[in-house]
Amino acid sequence: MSNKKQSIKQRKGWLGWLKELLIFSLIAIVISVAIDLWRGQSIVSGTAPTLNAQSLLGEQVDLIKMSNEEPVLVYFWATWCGVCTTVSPSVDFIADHYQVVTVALSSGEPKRIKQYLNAKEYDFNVVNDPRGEISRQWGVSVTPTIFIIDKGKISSVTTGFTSPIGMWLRLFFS
Amino acid sequence: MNNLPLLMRLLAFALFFSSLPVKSADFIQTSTGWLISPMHQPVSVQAQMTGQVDQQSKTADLLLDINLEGEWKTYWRSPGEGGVAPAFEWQTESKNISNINWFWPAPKRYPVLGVDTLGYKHQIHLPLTIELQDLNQPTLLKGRLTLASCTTICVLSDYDIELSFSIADLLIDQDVAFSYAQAMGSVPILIDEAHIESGKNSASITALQSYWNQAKQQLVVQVENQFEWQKPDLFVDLQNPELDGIFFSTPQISVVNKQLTATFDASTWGGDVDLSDTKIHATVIDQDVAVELVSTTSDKIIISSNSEANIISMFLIALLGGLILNIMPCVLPVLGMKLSSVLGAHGIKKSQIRKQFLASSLGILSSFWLLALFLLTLKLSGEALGWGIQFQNPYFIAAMVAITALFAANMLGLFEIQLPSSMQTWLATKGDQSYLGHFLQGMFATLLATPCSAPFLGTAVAFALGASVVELFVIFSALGLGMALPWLLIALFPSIALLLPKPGKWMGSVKLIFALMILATSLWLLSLLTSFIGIAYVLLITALLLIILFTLVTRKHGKKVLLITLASVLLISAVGLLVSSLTAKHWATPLANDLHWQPLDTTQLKQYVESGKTVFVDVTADWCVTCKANKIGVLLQDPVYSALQAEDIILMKGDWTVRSDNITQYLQSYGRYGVPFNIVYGPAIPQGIELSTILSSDAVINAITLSQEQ
Repeated sequence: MSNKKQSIKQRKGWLGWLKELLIFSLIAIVISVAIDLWRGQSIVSGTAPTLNAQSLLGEQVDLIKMSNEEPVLVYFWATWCGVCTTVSPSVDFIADHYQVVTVALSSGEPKRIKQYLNAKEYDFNVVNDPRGEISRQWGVSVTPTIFIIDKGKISSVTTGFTSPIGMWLRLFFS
Repeated sequence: MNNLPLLMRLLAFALFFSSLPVKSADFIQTSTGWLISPMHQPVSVQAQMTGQVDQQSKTADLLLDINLEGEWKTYWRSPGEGGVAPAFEWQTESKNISNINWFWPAPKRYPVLGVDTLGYKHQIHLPLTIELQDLNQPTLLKGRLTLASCTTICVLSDYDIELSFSIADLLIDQDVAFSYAQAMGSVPILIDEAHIESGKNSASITALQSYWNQAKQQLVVQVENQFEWQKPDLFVDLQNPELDGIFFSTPQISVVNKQLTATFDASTWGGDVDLSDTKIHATVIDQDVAVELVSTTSDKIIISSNSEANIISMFLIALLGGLILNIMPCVLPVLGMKLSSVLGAHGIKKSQIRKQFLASSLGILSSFWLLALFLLTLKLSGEALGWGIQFQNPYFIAAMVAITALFAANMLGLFEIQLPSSMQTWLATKGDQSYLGHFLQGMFATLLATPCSAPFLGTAVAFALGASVVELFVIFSALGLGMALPWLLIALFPSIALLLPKPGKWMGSVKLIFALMILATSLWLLSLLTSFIGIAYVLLITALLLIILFTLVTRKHGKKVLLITLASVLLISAVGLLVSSLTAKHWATPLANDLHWQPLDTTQLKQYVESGKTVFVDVTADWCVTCKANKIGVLLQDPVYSALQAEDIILMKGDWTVRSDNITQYLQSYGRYGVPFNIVYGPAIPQGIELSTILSSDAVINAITLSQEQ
């Protein structure tokens, strides 16, 4: 008798936890979507602005052209952005498998950024934006910000911490 | 009346100047009001003139208020790797301004992923002074303030500042002036080394030095305060555009008395840093201290005591050390006697044995606590302190010689200690309730143990002496517990005591051996007196002591027992010699004790190291058994022996046998409170490589090679 009761109780507890978890993740999703929307107020949407610039390594980057072949992850970051240090390694990892363009916002001269990348051992593609012009054009004032551009269109935008799985999912669903 | 012309003249003078054409500003704007970036609502900024002007330095005061909502943070002037300081671009559009000086209140640490960034939250008031080119010209302050603010995201927002005024139009705004004064009050006071040396600083800082360690890429800052440090924190920055991009880690801070030592790791994104002979700004914050100290780094070594040893491992070491004490020649007899007394009293109940041994254990523990209390008093009184210092006191040694000799005599049956026996009868009348005698026995055991404690307890006690009060008592409790372990074991399982063979003749022989052990301890202690009274007196006393003992033995027990005693002494030494000669192959025989040691002298030491020599320092004492073991086992053995004889190696010995405050200080500067202490200095590592208490040839050779590497 008591055993049965206990097992029922346990199952209830287990179900309860699952319910709790679902509710929490739902809340988290709603909040993060809301925050993304709020933060994204000024961020451009629809057609992606052109990004045709020379990377730090001297390569010519033509974002629209790139996005016509395959989705591109565009990552706005800064050397002075503490949170970016949590996101950059993931972007660096993704960059081995997908097209990635990053924009260094108000982070100083190219030499300084090269030193930073060297020290942190990142080898993703960087377009320098020392005066924040590109970022303004894109309506980005928040770092870290990640866009997924597919065929010249912005398919998703997110700011703040993003996991590599999140990035991958966004690239996958674009 | 004589004054009138002067007054008139002054008035005329004033009129003349006031009638000069003072250009007024086209419009007057002394406050920006709260500015909010539409892109970033949680941060607002306001710049206000206080109206105060310093005619002499031609500066006007400006208060910059920054308001951050919730968890938003902005940064200090040197925020570290993960931040960027507020920037104000005013140079292109402003008029009549030659410079703007920023004053920064002390920042707080905000960790991001284990890396601290330095900055502020909530309301910040930054006082600024505007240096004017001409006090009589209208001034325009126009520019863009760029402010980074972060939570889990970072935002860079711009604020357009525009103020316009002329000095003549400025009115003092009491509220703003008050806020400004308040903000200035929270800015650390700037003090440089010259101020401190001349003793003319308004803060309580009494000494300051900084040291750049190129090899380790570390900056060490040492600050002394008149008062005790509470919870100090240090921030270092360079305020030199040429050295931009050098970051300092969160410091490792150690406080010894009133001296604060902070060690920072310096890093850049590209290669090594060289901060030798560089001006640094160390902002020191404590409960009643807020100063910005300017210092120039030197190559003078600052050693910070490292208290890396953790309390748990020390607890275990102390426990083991205490346990080992039981088999030392000074303590074993006490435990032995106790056991034999149990055997002697036949028909004793287990519960009684239990209680007796518990009482003795408590006696041991209490005496260790007393020792801790005694050491604590010494420590608080600022006395030179170290474990083993009791052996630096001839009276202590003499007293211990007397006690051990008497105890040996007692064991030889030369006399019965009257007091305990009378007390025992008294205790007997008291019944089972009183275990004072057993308690005292435990204390006596500890007292006898002290001479043997130096070699084994050194590490643990040295740690305890450098640690906090609580840790000191924890370590000493562990020592006591360790020593009481066998006693507690018997208290837990009294049947162990009853397992011993029935008392009989063998007890006499065991007693004799115990007596000889104690006698040996006594003679060893006596030999330590050599450094106080000379070898001649020591030999004389030894002879006297032995003659008295042997005469007493003859008187008490007759010639037969004397012969037995002498024979057993001879036998024991013969067996000892035989065993040692048979196993001589495995023994460490010293090569020759002909190493040339100079007395330890820190000034000379430094000179030697500067001239490219390697210096091996050995701080030792005659009464330190571990030191002797190190010497015979490592220092006087190849390869160390030959290495120490090399041309460019200087050997220095610090003798701690008798009290020496210099050497105690030297030890304490490395966070050590006991001997042996060995350290190797060399051209590559002038701050020295500390060696562990128990030496190994590998460690010594490694340290010598390391210190010589270029």
